[in-house]
Amino acid sequence: MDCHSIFIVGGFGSFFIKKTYLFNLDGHLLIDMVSTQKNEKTNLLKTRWSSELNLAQEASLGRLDAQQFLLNHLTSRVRNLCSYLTGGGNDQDDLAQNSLIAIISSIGTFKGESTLYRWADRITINTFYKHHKKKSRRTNLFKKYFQSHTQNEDYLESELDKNRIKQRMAELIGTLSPKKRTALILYHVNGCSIEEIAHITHTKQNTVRDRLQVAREDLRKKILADPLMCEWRKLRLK
Amino acid sequence: MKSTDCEKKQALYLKENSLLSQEERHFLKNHKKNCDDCSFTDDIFKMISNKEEPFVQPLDELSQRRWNQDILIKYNNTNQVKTKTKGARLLIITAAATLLMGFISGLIFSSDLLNKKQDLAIESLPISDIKENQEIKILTSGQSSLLSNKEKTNLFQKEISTNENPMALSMGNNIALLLEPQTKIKIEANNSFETIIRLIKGTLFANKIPFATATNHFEIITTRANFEVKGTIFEVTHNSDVTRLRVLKGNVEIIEKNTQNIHKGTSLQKASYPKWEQHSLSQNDQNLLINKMKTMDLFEKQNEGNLEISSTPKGALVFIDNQYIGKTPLVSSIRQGHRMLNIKKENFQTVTEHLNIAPESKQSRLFSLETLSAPLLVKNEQEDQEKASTDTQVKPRATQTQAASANELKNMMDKVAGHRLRQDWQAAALEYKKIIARYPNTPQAHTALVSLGLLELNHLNQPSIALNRFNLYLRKGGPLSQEALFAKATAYKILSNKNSEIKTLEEFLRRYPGAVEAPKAKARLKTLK
Repeated sequence: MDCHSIFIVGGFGSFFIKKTYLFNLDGHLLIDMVSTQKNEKTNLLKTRWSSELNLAQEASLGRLDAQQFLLNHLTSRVRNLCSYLTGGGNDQDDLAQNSLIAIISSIGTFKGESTLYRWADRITINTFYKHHKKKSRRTNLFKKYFQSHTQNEDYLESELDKNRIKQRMAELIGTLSPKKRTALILYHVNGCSIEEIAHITHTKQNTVRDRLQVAREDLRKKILADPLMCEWRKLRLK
Repeated sequence: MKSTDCEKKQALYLKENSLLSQEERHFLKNHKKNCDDCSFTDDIFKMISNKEEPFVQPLDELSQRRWNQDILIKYNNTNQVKTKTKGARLLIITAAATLLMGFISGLIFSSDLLNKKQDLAIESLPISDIKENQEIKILTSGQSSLLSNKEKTNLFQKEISTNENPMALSMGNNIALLLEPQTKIKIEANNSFETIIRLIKGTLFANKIPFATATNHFEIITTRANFEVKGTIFEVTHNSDVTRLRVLKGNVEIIEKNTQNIHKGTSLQKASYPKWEQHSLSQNDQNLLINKMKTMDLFEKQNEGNLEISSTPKGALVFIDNQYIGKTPLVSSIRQGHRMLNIKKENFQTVTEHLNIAPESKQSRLFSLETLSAPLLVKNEQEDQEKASTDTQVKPRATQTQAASANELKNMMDKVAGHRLRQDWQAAALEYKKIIARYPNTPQAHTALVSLGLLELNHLNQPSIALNRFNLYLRKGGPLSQEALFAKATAYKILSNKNSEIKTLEEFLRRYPGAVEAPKAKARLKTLK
């Protein structure tokens, strides 16, 4: 079916059919978004909300139960994202809190064109960029040195010390520039596609691809040079 | 493995599977087998992509509730502030623009302002502009109370010493100090023109934000040398054996007392008496200084709240966000935000709590530490639980080994979470009852009273039983008292007990006037009256 025939069929269909075909009008790009979105939709079974849009509308009207459900649902994801964005720093929870406040404040603007998760990712990223700009020189100093020192000692008790490895990965990711960091985290941690990342960060797909490639290469070099990572590698080989 | 192969592999990584040629797929498969580096880095990326094991563990029920409350309160406050300050914002923008124009004009017409030398700045500042004795604020103290934030703290010319706990001071002039334990200083001057500290003994960590005030002169004096600071992060140690400087960032001039020779201390360098030769800071030194900076960051005077922590027994180590801040009893200003509090003492169980420090808030915590050797269960008190419980089949267990009990309790909590997720309220309620019956007097059982009560109230249509549970919880109190009290009012509403509902709502509004449910409670009270 070509675009014209899809449009005509959509015009005769119900509102529901029209919505589905509206995605398809953009072709390959949005089909991909739909297929990844399917796995990431909020489980609203056995709740009184019929859809994510309905939930968002009620939350924007100030209904406490809707807002609390939203927070319960998004907190883990947002905190996880913020922990990587801040490189595991002390301000991860502050950033997560500010992001969730921004999400609740702007929940009225959610139109259901993407999933709630993706929409929340975008708000979180925007909050992170603002947060990053406001930080003082002293805090930037943290990031500069953070890769080579932490509160914990530089050894692993066992090959299975995955949390320690994740902490170090967060620190290493934290040394990348904000834009590269965002692309990398959205791709690997949140499982977003290139198209989705481009949509979230308001950039072109090719730009995202370039940033990802450079970020991965930079990170790869840091991982291979990092003493803790080398230690873990040796333990694994034993 | 050739590095070009690795680069080729990286380039192909982002290409969609369906778009790869046969040759490219073959190359990727072989490369992964043969290249240890790429295989290792790929495994690490897989680990961080694993959604079943996120980096940050999900919050438990209690912490999630608190988290939600904090966010909703802040969201409501932000909304109120936004409407009030719209006009004020316009005024501020206009004033700022006018000031900026004035500053730029001053820069263009005055060459003195461009001169960054301290000497010139000293000559140009009129004496009438020097404000005497700027407010010094103690940000953390091992004593019973901090001096009030509103009072002007007059520590000028007095000796300030620390014992076991570190102490943070905010000097104004964008200078912050951290005194290590067993340190003694004297503040010789602290005005808009200069800050001079005499380090009598011990270690002083300082942070002066550069160019914040161009004219401010900052100097640390010891018996062996003076340290003149331009705007930097550094530490000075002075005692009978050693005088040493470690600089994390910036420049410090070291002026020898007897000879007046000048040496330099620069970023990531250290120097010590008598030779003052510069040496690089070791990784360990850098780590230590960075940790001190993190600690200072906690105390920094910026929308801080006041936190008082005590424990039985005393002398427990207090960590906030993994930074050691002192021993109990302790009073401290802590920067606003979500903080993780850990209380540790040898032979006692570590206590962890999530705090939310609101600006200008005052919080007090008293922790009764449990010994490590004590069993998880204490003597079973059945009386209160039996009144509330309708399930007589579950009987309390005898004392168990601590590890097995903790594991079982954790499993039960996980089961509850699973039931709640599937919205199987009956099963969740049963599990809660088991926890309350088998592990009474544990924090989990106490919290479960409220959770179970809410289930019975909202989903199982048992308001009278729920009411008993809320009363039981409120008798002892706890962090969920606010929620329990509001739910109690709801239970009375369902039971059509008007008078009790009015009393409960009035008590709720008296105790928690700023609660998220307060507007709802007020509206309901109005309707009832």
